Amino acid sequence: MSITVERIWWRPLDREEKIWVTIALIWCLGTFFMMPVWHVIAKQNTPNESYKVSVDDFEKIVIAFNEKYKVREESGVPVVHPPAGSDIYLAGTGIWQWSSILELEAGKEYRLHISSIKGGGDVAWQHGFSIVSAKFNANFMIVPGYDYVLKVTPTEAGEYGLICNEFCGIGHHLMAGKIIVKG
Amino acid sequence: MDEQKALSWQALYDNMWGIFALGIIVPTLIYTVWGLIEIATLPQMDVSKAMEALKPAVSQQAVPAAEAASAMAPEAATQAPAH
Amino acid sequence: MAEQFRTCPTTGLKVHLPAETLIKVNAVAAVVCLLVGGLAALLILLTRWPAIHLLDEEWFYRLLTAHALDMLIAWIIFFEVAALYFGSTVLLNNRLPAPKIGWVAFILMVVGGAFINYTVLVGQATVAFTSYVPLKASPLYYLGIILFAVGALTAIGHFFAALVVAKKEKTYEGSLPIVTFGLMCAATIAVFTLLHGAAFYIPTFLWSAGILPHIDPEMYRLAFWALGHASQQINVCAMVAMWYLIATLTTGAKPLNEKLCRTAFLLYVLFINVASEHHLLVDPALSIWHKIVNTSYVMHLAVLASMIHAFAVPAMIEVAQRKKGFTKGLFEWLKKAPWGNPAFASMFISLMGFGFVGGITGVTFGTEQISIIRHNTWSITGHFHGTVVLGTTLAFMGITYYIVPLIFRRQIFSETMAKLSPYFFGGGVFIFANAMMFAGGYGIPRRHWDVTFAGAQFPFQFDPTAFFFLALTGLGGLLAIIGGALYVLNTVASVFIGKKIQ
Repeated sequence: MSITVERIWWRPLDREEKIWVTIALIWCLGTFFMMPVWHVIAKQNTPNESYKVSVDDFEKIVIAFNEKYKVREESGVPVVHPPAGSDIYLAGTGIWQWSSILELEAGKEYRLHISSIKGGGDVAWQHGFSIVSAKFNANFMIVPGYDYVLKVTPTEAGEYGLICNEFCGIGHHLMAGKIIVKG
Repeated sequence: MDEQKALSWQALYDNMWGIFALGIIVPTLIYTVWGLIEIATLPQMDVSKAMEALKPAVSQQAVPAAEAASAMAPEAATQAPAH
Repeated sequence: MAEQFRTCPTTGLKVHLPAETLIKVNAVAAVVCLLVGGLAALLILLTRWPAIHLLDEEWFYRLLTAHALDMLIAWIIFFEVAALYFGSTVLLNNRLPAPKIGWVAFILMVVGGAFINYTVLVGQATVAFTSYVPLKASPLYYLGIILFAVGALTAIGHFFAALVVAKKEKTYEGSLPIVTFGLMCAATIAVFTLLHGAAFYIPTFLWSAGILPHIDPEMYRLAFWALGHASQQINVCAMVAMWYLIATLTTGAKPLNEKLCRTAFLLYVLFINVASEHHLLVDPALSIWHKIVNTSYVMHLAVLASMIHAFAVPAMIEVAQRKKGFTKGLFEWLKKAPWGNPAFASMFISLMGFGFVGGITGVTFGTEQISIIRHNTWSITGHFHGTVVLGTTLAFMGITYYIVPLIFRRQIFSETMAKLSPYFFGGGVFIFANAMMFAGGYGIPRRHWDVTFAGAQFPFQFDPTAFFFLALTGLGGLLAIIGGALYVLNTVASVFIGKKIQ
């Protein structure tokens, strides 16, 4: 088995190699080019608005929000019906629950702020905000200390599951809530 | 192809320390340093503005402070673990 | 003090005996970790298969943590260290300048690995591979990882020192052979990885010990993935180096154009690490441009590198095969390739599997819009089993079939087990990874003990079709584990009771 490399190995590519590299390069640049282009023309992109916020401040806001727009309760969790176009707030809690059940209206835009709070527990964990339903799935990170603003326009009425898909401790798999969209 | 030119290109590829330096510096700048700067310079949320918008409606503002405080307490109870 | 060498009767290469011992101990440690990680894999698999749901939640999350660390970090990095010693000594007729340092590195890695496994198994570090703050493990856990990383960095430094010695003592002529060059690129990526690891694991260790008050979770995420994903890029680079090595050993192939292959490795060195951003696509704080520039591997240039290797390796095999006379039609060279040679089968399945299952899904999931629908679902888990298991692990298994006779100088214990293993393992992981990706399409989450949500506050039901894919994952996984068990048993048996080769 000979290991030695030829003395001069720097030489031009053969025809097939040139063809392949050209195709591959165009393909790669094309797929790259589509990334910013799709961001501009597509209707569903990762949000670009976020802020720093203390865990306690976000919890204050969530409590005030729940209090102001609560319409009823389900299994002890407030169902909250905020006005269209408003800032709405949802948090994953330190006791592995979602802070409310949002009741939204189809066709209306909302500024949904997501973050992590203690909510009765000792620690505000990282969570995975995961909306799951037969036709729709969207996932965003919930990070304590950060307010992530999602501009959301629900399009179809129904009940959407809300689960956590970022490991956050022993109660992780019990975190299940929902978001209701009224027609 | 000119042999000298080939050998000088090869020397570049044989430059272990140059490759090492670029391999550490380039991704550290593009990913780490740029990312840390973005995280560090993130603006603060305007908490008072948010709280202002969530104040109870005008007709309820006549409610005495004690009642407003107890309106907050049930919220804390619903946050407490039920299981 | 005369250096001890022996001459390999098969290849004629000079083998530095202290280096050979280090290759052996690191390879053995690697396979031990694969075994532990593999046992954990079996138990986890049987838990996520809802019909069986074997472990309770405490043990599931513990073993999930252990599985990830023993596979993604321990098995793979021990094996890569063995490969680095091989590439810098045997392939260059060279000596290791300081074998004692090699032993220090090995001991650090073993002790670190022991701390990690201990703390996880006793439940003091149920934090998952990512240990996202504010989840907190015992300080011993973080210390274990730091020791392992310091050990690995020591071994890598020793590798570079060996390359300097080889050049100075002129043990080889001209440029480094492509395999060593590829390993050098992998080592460079590894230094980026491990330096970032130190940068956040040390403060996190201090935080867990009560010395530092707070760790910012988003900065932690950014830094973690510079370790977490970049470590997988070491694996990509090392895996490709193994493809070139196995292609040469099994078919006599040589790279058709060294300039092309080396340029591809350089593109990896410059641009592959920034893909760590894939994990941060749906994170707050980072801007769209940071996300796009990084997740595209800088204009997909590192993807171009993979496409070059995906062309170059089969092309060099084809040329070598045609030279041997397999020129009938378009594909005789491939049909008559040494598929019965477990190293060749492993390498080729690894190449196809990495490219079509792992690589493509990685690049597509690494875009904003697809990340929204796939982040933290089981699709992600399917993707990385396609890259790290079907790709890297299978390639490493493949080269083992040469390490055992050439370095351990033992005959392979069972030719049948050797022939079957790559197909069982490769086929199993192929089914398993794809099934996971389909399950993730229904929203099935990763790292989740119970997707029926029994006991949750609100009932939730996935589309029942998802459960078909969960069962299929279980079946594919079992097939893969059989293939992996064949490899481990055969390798261990060969090393201890295989017939000695003189």
